[in-house]
Amino acid sequence: MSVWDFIITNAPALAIAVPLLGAFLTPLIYRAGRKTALIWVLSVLGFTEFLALLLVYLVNTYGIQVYVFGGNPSTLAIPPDSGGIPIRIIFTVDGMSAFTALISSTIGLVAGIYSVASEKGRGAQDKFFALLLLLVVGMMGMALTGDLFNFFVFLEINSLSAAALVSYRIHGGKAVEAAFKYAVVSSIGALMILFAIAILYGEYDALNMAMIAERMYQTGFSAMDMIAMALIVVTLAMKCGAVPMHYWVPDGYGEAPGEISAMIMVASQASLYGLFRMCFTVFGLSANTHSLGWFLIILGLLSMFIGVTMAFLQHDIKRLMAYHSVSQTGYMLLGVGVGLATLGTSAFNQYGLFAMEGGIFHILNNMLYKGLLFLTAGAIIYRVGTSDLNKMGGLAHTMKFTAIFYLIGALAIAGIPPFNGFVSKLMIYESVYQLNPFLAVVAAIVSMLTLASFLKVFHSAFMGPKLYNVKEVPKSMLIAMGILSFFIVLFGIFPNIAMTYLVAPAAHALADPVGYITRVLGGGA
Amino acid sequence: MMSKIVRTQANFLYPFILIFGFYIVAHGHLTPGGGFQGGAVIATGIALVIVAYGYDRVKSWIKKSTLTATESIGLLCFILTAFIGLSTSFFYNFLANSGLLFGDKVSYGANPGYLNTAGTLPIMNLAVGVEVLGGLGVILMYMLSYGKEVSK
Amino acid sequence: MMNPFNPSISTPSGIWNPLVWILVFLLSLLIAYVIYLKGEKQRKKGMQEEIFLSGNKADGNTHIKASNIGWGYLEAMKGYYKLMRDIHTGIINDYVGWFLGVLATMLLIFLFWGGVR
Repeated sequence: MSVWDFIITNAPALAIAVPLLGAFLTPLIYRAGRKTALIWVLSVLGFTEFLALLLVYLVNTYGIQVYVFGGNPSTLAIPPDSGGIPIRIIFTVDGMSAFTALISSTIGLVAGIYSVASEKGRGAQDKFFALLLLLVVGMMGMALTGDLFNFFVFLEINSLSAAALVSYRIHGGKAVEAAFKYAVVSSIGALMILFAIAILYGEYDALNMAMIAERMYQTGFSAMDMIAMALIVVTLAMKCGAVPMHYWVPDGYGEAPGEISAMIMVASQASLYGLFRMCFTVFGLSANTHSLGWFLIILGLLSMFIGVTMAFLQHDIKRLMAYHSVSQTGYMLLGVGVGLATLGTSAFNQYGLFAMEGGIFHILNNMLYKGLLFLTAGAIIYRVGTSDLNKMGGLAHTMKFTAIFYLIGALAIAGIPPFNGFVSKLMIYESVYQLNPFLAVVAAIVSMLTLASFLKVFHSAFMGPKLYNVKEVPKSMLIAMGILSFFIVLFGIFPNIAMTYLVAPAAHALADPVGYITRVLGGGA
Repeated sequence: MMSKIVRTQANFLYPFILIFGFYIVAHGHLTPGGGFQGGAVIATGIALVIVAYGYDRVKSWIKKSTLTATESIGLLCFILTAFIGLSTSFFYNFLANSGLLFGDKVSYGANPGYLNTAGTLPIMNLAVGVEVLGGLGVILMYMLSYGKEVSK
Repeated sequence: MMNPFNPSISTPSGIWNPLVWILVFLLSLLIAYVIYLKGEKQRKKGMQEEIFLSGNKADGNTHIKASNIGWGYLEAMKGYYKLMRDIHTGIINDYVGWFLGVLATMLLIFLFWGGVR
């Protein structure tokens, strides 16, 4: 077996094993010096990115990938002596999982490149990079796993490393407070999920998502399932920052270092992935997806509107952007919620699937432009030393590249063509108004307010007389921002690249729970 | 530093706590408990020593950097054991029923519990035990370093 | 499968092509430039070129601070923002309270709206 075959066979496991090994080795390698450790961290992140791309390729070419941990062979989901239950931990990689894994590893790589310069000269970086890699592990694990308890474990890895990273640069105790709030809220959420998993395990004797979905479909949707579903769905909605459970978002994103804000933003998109996976694959066959879909739509509308109006009020650049990520999450919930509400009806093929594609494309776009905006905010704070917009001004005189990158990100998030944000927003508007015109109206108003508040940031930070005599940020930060800007423009002008290879397979995978279950269990359902 | 009585008791108890902790770690695949619980018990030994002798003395006996290295090594042992199984699949139990270390076969039915079984599980338990001992130890060191010595 | 390098996307009620948009954008820039060229040739130097802010001559200090931007909008939406500020307390008990509240709402929705398909 050649190395290439070996990597292909074990790609789903390696995608979390490699960053995990990287995280555990980083503190030891750091003892040999910062440069060595950085080469190590970046090569681990680069290899993880390669594995995520490989997963996308494998899923697009050969269909859903199943990997059984500790199994012999690694694709044997149900051992002959297990009584028909997939007892081992199983990674099930379909289009949506590969999509989420790809955006997680991409933001990890970009944040890694960015922190080469942004963390230079600061203390305790060995643990910083270890935690950064662990956060990537958490996101990738949540995306790839096909096992409910394993999902909980990765959710915890995700929350704990994110909370630790938020508090990493203490900032007069503010960051510690933010991290404490984040930790408390996400621990309570994780306990709720654990409780729900216990309910499902007690009922169906299985932890595998496909197995639970199939048995739930056969025995019918019981009252206990309803409680479990409410616990899981609301907790994951809270973890992805939907209004009115978004309060931890501005605290957490606002106090973290720039690159960490970008990563936590994507970490909450991994929770969003979990939400969609539960709604479609686990509960989609048995529960009333119409009312579940409307629940997501209402959460989405609230998030969009309250997020953007609260953002306009802020004068702290990171908090402002944090409220915008609440508002952008609303678009995704709206798009995919419309898909869920119409699932199984004729409307699904008319516009529901298209709305879902819009929502999922928006996840990718949000990772790109929101990541870019957080990185530019980090760059401003790196040079100016304050995050208060009232104290900024005239930065475009000297920080020209940062200003251009900021402008690209701001125009993309506001949905100005030809950047990528416009494409996904157009897809959402064009499809959701067929369910209810009001939805599209709110979405368009929110888009306008988004533009207004980003113009406010652009004016107050970059325009006006020169207040600070600062230099442009170091190269590695510019490279990180440049990578994201490149993809924003690329996906804006050629949206079909992302649509064909990433978004459409993801939307089709979500819309087809039976295929998922059949692939894992082999027959059944 | 506490009174002579407390210190003598601590001296007396310390080895027993360590032995009990490692017992829980080593029997993780047979009895309730395992790597995490055993490691936590061992870490309480460190807490006992710090309480009895005061942080200032203990910090020259137990180094924080040693503890963090212990933690990393434990984690590495865990993940490397999982990696060795990769020839079949990640986390594959390549030692079980192999006749080598921890590789005895267990016959079907009730038995009193044989230590030399379960393949990679005891190794992973040991790794987790070492990791938790280091991790909790360093947390304790940091937390108790804020304690002020009261002189009478 | 779609051709990934085809820039146009067809939506349920239309089509979107970024390259056409860029073309139209450049064209409109060109038209704007033509109109600009046709403008008044005899404009005077001095007064006409200076910048005024609310009737006052701005001597290089035209920068508006972030908190003052959008004053009219914020003033018009005063009641809404009062409510929003009251809700965003920053107290962690409230965070958890809202979470549990939504959880209860979700359960009620499913009890009364029907959970089963």
